[in-house]
Amino acid sequence: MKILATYNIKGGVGKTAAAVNLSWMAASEGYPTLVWDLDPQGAASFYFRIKPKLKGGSKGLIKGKHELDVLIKGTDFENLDLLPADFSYRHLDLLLDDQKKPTRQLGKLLKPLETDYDYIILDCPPSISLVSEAVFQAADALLVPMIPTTLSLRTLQQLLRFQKQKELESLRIMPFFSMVDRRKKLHQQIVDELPKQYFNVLETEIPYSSDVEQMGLHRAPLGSYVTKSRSKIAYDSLWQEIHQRLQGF
Amino acid sequence: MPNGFVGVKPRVSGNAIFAKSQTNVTNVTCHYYLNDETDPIEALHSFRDLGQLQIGLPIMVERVFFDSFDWRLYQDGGMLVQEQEHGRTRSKWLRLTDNQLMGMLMAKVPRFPRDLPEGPMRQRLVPLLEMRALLPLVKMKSQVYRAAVLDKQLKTVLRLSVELGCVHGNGNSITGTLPPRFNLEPVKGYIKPVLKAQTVLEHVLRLEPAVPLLDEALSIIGRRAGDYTGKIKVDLSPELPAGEAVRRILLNLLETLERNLEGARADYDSEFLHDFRVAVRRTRSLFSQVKGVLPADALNRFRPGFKWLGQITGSTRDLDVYLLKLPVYREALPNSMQDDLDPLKDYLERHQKIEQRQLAKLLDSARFKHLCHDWRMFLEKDLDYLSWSDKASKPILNIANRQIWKTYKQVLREGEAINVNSAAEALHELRITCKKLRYLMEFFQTLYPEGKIRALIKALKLLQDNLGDFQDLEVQADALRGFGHQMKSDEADLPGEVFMAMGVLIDNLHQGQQAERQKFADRFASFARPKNRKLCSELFNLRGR
Ligand SMILES: Nc1ncnc2c1ncn2[C@@H]1O[C@H](COP(=O)(O)OP(=O)(O)O)[C@@H](O)[C@H]1O
Ligand SMILES: [Mg+2]
Repeated sequence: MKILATYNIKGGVGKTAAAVNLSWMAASEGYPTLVWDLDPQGAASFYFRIKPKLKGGSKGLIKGKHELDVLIKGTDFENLDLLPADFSYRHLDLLLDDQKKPTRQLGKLLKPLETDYDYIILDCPPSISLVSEAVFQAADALLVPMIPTTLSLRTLQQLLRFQKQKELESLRIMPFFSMVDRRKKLHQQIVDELPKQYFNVLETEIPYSSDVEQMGLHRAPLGSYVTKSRSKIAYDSLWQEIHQRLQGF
Repeated sequence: MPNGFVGVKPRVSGNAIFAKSQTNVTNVTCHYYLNDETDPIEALHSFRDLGQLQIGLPIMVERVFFDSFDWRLYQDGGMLVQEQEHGRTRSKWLRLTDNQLMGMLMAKVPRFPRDLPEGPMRQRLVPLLEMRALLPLVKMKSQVYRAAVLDKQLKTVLRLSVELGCVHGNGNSITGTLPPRFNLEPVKGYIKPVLKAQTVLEHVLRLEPAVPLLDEALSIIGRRAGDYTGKIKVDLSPELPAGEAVRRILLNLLETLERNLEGARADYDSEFLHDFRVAVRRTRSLFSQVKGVLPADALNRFRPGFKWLGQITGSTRDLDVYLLKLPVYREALPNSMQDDLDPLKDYLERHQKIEQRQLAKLLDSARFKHLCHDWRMFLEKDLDYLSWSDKASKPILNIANRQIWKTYKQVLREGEAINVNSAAEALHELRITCKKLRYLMEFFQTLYPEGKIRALIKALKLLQDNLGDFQDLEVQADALRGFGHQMKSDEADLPGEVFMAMGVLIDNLHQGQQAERQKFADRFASFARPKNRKLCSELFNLRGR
């Protein structure tokens, strides 16, 4: 089982779009996959048409009242399950803080699912907090969507520094460009000139596309309702690349 | 057995569709028989009160079910089915009771689980199936009518289907038709719609629960899940004349031998030949262990044939064993040396193929066919076993008791004589005596209280494992040396590294053998402890009573 997390300090960069579409890709290739919607806003749950509500709230979850397994919902897609968001996730930091070894808690919760899923994708809220630190501890890889701006590079550097500081050597950070608009000069410049190798940036970029925007209308992963679109192909090749990189360790 | 699953309580664990707080719901029946005259679409429409119904066009689904010859998936509560739908092939590992998906592959079922892609499914199936191949059991084609129940958000909360299926034989001819089935496919985390649907099924449509699809399909081809096991268990009663008891055991062994023939011939996996050989060995053991029950002329007639079977299967089995051991050998070497063993692997595979081909020819021979035929004729037709010998009419219990007790005492005698200075031969001798005892206890196990005889067999097995390993490690070391010589003379230009790696292995094996030798005293003491002695005396010693 590999645990991936879509993560960025910033909101609106395509984390949820990536979590939803990549999980669909993995599942449709036959890998049992779980998405955990960790964002109290519940965007990923919305895309899967599942109510952002957990029995017992996040308190029940963290205190171990319910096994994770009984809170999981099957999506409309084979092999693809969701652990829904809950509004109470706003207080997740406080709840974690109350536990021994707070940053180990997510990993501990996910452990029993080891034999059930090939991939678990955590869709994170935009912040740096105890929750994100727990995510870094639990995850094998962070998928970091970046809109090509100078600011986004700075946040990436910050993240890498944080990784070093917290000695998270085994965490793989896989940034990729998201919502790329090739008509914008700045986007072009940054995407083309960034020393990708240095930052381990994935080759595939996700273009800015109205197909992705429309996911909110369809309330479904892109791949389930379009057949050939630039953005679907992009997510597909992004997944192949991630998959490939994960084989290597 | 086919009815064994109706109303079985679900295991509320890992993948269970019921939350812990809902354990009051005990029945998870998901399969029902639909009346022949009910229209599938109409049946699906009966569920319109559950939510918005989405009914699809009927489609053709082709399925092939797989399991190992000894039903390891089924015994584990699962089934592996290769499905073809719209020209797309997928393999699903499903739980028998409720069709819950436990793993999936977007390709055909591979021959061995080790050929599965890395992942939980492989991790779980490899240790379950070990060396056993996945073989096709039965093929079906079905017309499937599917519907989805949607909630207010238009999300699927339950899937329904009606299935009209046929079992197909080779060459696509229809072997038989299954009764129409109505299936519920719960969506994980949505229990209410399942309960509502069950009410409709049971109280409105009044359908009867169905056995799992696999069992249904198997019954059409006259098979039953679990219809093979390598274990021997023949029902005997104490008063049964010895001739009849021995006849039953021998027939059972012949059956095992014949059932493994095809797989051993074609080498589906190495276990067929192994079980075949065990049946031969057990037969021969019975010949010599239960002397005086079978008539002497019959023994003279059939003994050489079974000896021959032991001989012709030996070299293939040996090579099989080393091929099975190879991954363990590799692991035992330092990382840098592991690939150096590749020429040994090539050598073993090449020779295994040659021996296997030779064996297949011999199993096709007239001699083999006559042997099986004549042996069966003797066992089935020569019903006048009372005239076999004097002993044949005695109650089997007496004979079993005497023979087991005698062999048990021999084990004790030989074992007690062994000390740290004893030669390896002494342990080998003891190993052989233990094996005799084991076979006897297994042949006659149904004559004794189950718990007691099981406990003894288990204690004996621990000792046998130790003695077996001690012997095997030496045999393996010798064999590796032999392979080394052979490889050198076969191929002049093999890299020296392979012989070095094999040298390290031989050392490892000798060390392992020493370790087993160290363990012997404890194992034997444990087997010979007063509690077991008392038990043996109680079960087998007539005079002691
Ligand atoms: N590649 C894209 N092209 C166009 N719009 C996108 C793309 N990716 C995401 N969006 C839109 O941008 C918004 C934010 O995306 P989302 O994935 O929710 O970001 P995050 O999870 O990082 O907050 C959503 O409305 C989404 O539809
Ligand atoms: Mg989001």
